[in-house]
Amino acid sequence: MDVVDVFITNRCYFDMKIYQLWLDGEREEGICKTTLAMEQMEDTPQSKQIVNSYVSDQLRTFHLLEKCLHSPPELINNPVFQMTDACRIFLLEKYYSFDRHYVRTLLGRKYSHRARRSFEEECQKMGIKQNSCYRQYENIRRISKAVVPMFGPSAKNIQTSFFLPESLCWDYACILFLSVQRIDLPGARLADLTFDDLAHCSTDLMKGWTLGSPQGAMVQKLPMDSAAVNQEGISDLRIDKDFLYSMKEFRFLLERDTMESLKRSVIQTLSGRGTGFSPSQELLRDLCRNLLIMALNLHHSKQLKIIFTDVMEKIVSPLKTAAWSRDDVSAFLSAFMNRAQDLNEFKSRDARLSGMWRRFYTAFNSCVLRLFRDNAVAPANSSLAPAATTLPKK
Amino acid sequence: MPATVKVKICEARNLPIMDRGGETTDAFVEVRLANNVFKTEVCRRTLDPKWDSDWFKFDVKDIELQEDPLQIRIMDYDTYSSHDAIGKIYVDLTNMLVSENRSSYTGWLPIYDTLLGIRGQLRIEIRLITFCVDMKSFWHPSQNVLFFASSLFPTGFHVKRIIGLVDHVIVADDPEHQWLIDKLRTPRSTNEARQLLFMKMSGELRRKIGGKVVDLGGNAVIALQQRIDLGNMGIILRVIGTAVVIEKMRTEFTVGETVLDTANRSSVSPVDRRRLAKVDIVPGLAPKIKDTTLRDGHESTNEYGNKVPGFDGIPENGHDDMTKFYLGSSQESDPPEGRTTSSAEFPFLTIKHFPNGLIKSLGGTVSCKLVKTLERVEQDDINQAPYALWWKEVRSEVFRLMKSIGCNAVIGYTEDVTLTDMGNIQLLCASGTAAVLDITLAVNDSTTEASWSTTLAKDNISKEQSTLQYPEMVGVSVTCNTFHSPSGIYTEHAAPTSSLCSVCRTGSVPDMLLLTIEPFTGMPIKGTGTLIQARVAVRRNRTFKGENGARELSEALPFVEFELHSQISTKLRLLGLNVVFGLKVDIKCGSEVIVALATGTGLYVTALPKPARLTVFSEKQSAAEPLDLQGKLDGLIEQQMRQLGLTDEKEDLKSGRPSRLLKQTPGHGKRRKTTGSRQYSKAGFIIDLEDDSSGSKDLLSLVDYLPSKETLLFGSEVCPIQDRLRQLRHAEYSLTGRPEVPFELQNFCRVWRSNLLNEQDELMDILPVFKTLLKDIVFRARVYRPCRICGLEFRISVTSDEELLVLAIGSILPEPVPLYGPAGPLKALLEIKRPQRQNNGRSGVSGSDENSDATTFPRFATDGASASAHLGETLHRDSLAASSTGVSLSKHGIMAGSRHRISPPRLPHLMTNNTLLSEAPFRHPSHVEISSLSFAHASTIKRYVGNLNLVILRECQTLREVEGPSGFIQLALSDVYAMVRAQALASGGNMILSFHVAQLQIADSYNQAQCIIYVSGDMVEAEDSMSFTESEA
Repeated sequence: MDVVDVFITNRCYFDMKIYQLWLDGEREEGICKTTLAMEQMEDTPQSKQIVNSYVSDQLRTFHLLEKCLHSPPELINNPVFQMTDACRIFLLEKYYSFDRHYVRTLLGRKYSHRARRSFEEECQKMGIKQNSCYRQYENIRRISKAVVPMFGPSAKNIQTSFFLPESLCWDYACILFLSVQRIDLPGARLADLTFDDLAHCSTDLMKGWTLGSPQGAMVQKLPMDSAAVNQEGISDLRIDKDFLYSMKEFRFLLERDTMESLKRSVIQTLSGRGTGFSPSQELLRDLCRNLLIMALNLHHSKQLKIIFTDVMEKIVSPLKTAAWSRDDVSAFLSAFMNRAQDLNEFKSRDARLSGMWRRFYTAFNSCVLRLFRDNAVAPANSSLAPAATTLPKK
Repeated sequence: MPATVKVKICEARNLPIMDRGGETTDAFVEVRLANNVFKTEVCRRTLDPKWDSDWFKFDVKDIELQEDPLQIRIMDYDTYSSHDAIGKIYVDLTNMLVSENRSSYTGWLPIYDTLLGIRGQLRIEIRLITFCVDMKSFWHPSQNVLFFASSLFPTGFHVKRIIGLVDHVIVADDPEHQWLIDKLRTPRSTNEARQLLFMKMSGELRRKIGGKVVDLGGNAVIALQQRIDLGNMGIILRVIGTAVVIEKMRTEFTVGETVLDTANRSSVSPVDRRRLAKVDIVPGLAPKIKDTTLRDGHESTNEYGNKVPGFDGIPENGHDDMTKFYLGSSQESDPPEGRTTSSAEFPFLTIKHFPNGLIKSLGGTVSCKLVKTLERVEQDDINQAPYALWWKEVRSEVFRLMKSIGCNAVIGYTEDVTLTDMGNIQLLCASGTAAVLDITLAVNDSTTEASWSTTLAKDNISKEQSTLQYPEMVGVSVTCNTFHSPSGIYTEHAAPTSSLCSVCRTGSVPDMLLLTIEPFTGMPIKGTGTLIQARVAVRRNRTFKGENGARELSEALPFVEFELHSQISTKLRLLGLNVVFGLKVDIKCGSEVIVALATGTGLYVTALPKPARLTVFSEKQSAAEPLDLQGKLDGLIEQQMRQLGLTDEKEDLKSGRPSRLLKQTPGHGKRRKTTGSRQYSKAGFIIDLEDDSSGSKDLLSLVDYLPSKETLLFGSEVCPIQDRLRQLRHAEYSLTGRPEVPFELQNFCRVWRSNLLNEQDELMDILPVFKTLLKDIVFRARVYRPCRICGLEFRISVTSDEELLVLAIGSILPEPVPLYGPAGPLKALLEIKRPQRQNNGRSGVSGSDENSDATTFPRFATDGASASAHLGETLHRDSLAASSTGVSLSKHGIMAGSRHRISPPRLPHLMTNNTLLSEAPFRHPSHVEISSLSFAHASTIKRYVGNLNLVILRECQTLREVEGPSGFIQLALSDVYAMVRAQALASGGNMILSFHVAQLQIADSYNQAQCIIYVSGDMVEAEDSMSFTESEA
């Protein structure tokens, strides 16, 4: 007969330290050892016994709890765990928090049961316990399964069905966006992009280009009746294809003269800043061209998939080679967006174009800026610093 | 046709998936009461079905209503095969019978399956409608008897008269052992049959005992103790309680009003007061209790038998402020008035809390053990079952003992049974505190004290106003009379020594008192009490089997008891204490081993002499070792006494001695315990070291575990703490400002099981086992520090394979500041916490996590300025740090640091205007507080909504999947807690008082396990007497 050793309380008590260790995929022996050290208890068999029983009680509770954590509404109504709402939210938040380095490797994939196995080797490389990886992957899969079919803003959907804090909801929304659009992310060029860079960019795209985005609704005067909407629903996980397709209308800007006058206008603005910054004409022309061509081609889903690779190759790399500063890039991009609208060729056309132009380039420029980053700042810090300055607009 | 029960099935949620393919369930509900069955429609393909059925009406007889539970079965509809059961719900309707509670019973009830546990919840509504206006002619009167599990006079009621002990025993066949049928049916249906039987038996027991109470003229039973004994002789259900006559205070009763009322009454003229009493009969009938200056116990005791007053609670005879505590007994000649109908057979009270002044004198613990053997009892002759007779025998003996020390009542009375040899040998134990109760408590109007019931209420109020939230002993009127020996002449049953009372120097007091009751107000005490525990395990050579085994057992018992007693007295001396309150003795035997455990709160009562100094004595004259030991011992005693606040009075340890009487008997001086290492003697307490020096080890191992200053352990519900210490704390509050009193109470249940025999088939030492268990509980309570652990109760059981099962239950009450020690402990506390916080920022949380915290954070602070983001970040870090110092976030949720006077760290996302998350109320309305204590410590009781009485079975056939028996017990117990909470909510309560996991039986083998859990308590509706601090923030 086995030893029975149980401690039950009316108010659920969770040791957050042990919870964290458990989430990290730590094994029971390891947790016991850590706890013993943390509680500053002497190393006697007696206190070991006490700690062991304590830890195994906690772990058993977490195992029971895990089922409920998988479907948060059940956790709210669960009669077995009596705890405060704040505690529930905290537990959920911790459970659904993830390791950004690890999840970076998962971005842009399809999250299914079958795809799981191949990732488990990667996690060994990352130095993360397998259990923890499994949990993180399953969390994404679970949220993806529940939220992707839903309509409306996905971050909000995640929040209502998983009760997570807003920041985490946005993170997951980005993960889902990248997954739904099947954005290609591997490759040497994108290797140094962190999760936050990508999350930031996808937030911009979600807010600017998708069916659920506010601009989308505003510019298109709410396309409730359009076929695309009926098929896919208004969700910020789905790109507004009509919008990207209609970007073809800006083909007129590619004409030689127009391009030239745009370039001139941009140079004028840039030199008007008075920083003594004078980029080469060649580079500027190429940049303007590339910016425009990308806009024109994005309606091909193939082009959309490689959007980040494209930006890195066609825009960010030349800029880096030319050793532009972040301010320069920012000035250039805004000049490009604003000056184009001032062109006569632009003004003579449909007034609707201006709105589309802004909608496209607000999101796009923000992405470019984020992907450019400033290498002058230590790259290691990059995940923190730019995030604080460029926040998703609400 | 006395009643109609109407049931409405509303909806269910979180049902399990019964149809694997569609991941849905087609649920329907079957409602059954007695022989009537109703069914709802099938709600297809949903896990959250909504039926909103019509009202199902059951017309039932009163007996059915009392004995049959309402059975609700939730099923999954299958077109081709038979329907699958999802789970069942049993509703005990008896609580609805009691007139005040005859409202509706509605709420989310957990759907329970004996094999799979809780599987979703069902919302139902039940109403009870009675047609008869004249209840008496149609209703069985026992329906209106109230039952209370709390061992005190219930709040909101006037106790008009105490009648005495009522009991009943019923026996039934156990469906588990009907093996012929058992082969044919599934474990699930056996379990359900058993569970239903338990419920029905409980109902029958209640009905029978209710009838007895009515026959005695009572209308309520308090301190009800119900037990289930399972053996191969069947199921024995027995119950004892104290029959009383109570009257409800006005229905709109709230504590505030009552106090106001009494205050008003003292200001109006006597005439008005009288009228008030007449018009508003209820307050007039309130039992008035004289608080002090009773006549000396010695004189009064002689008269107790015939001092029964000639009135019985009717105010006509002008004594409208009198309470009659009439205690009759069969052995006594009936009182002149011949009121036999209102006398219970034995003047035994199961109540443990007594109002000040009711107890005139305490005689000490009396107990009786009886070993009986049994052949199988046939179902037919249940009435001839020997149990009732056996108990009568035991009680008569207790009564005789009580008389022999000159007492007129036994209070704090309990009974217990140990079965061994498959239930063929039964050990019946009964114990209580012999006392002289004041039978005629007549008090004139001028006393400031109101009725007992309002005293209690007032206590709560006054505590509410002060910073302390817990009913504590208030030593307002220091009276020593209670502790004087009940009669001048000792018999051989009394304490071996006695001396003069050190308060008044007139009465004679015993050296040491063991009491089963709770500490009461008005005791002359000093310092703080603490847990005292004695543990004995003895192995006999012969197995306890058959007639010889019974003899063996009865021969072993005196030695066990003596060892227990000597351990307690040694421990008391080691701590400098002299009285034990709330003593619970548990003796259990396996097939060869007897384990005995005695737990209580030790206390120093100044009326009794100071315990004599322990002296070490060795027959060998090599003085070094005894001296060394003596030094160690003295140091230890000194330190422990200081911790308990006993030493600051510079009094000579020996000063108690001169007052010692000369007539004391040498007593136990000659008797030696089995190991022979300790003896009593008149001169003090001498420890005789044996030659092999095992004595010293033995002695030091007896030293009880005294936890650090921030945790107090008590075996009793009431925590005796001296006034002076409380004043000290009050002074501290006024210096530091009123601390936030953490409104919370943690109820815990610790289950521990292990084999008593080690691999070498030797009996293991159980002292360290219990020491570790105590340490373990203190360790678990560390997050609530400073706190006190009250009502710590240990129940043990030993199986025939010598498996020891320990069930420890208690309540943790956090304290605003450490309980003892001079001012400034807070500072020390904070200083201790700080270094911890620094070093674990890294160790516990992995680097990746820290990174993620840093990076997720700013995004969330979008709408604020960056400055606020920074502030938020620090807060976030703070809360993280707090969580990693082990301060639980679950208790207050996020308010982890509040106890340490750090501004409450909050998770940043809760501070935003994030509506979804912050709209939720901080304390859930469906929160149910569970307390093992009989009183609400920080809230006021509005009303009692019913008695909780639940037997729950759980079986598991895949033990490995639930992480072994520990996981299984955890599952079972947490389900029980959940069901209990749901029941309280459905009855309209929000708190459970005197909650006890009274019994827990586990049987397991290979990959299977089964357990029976019996819980009891009182469901009440309580009101927070203080606003919840966080809700204001």
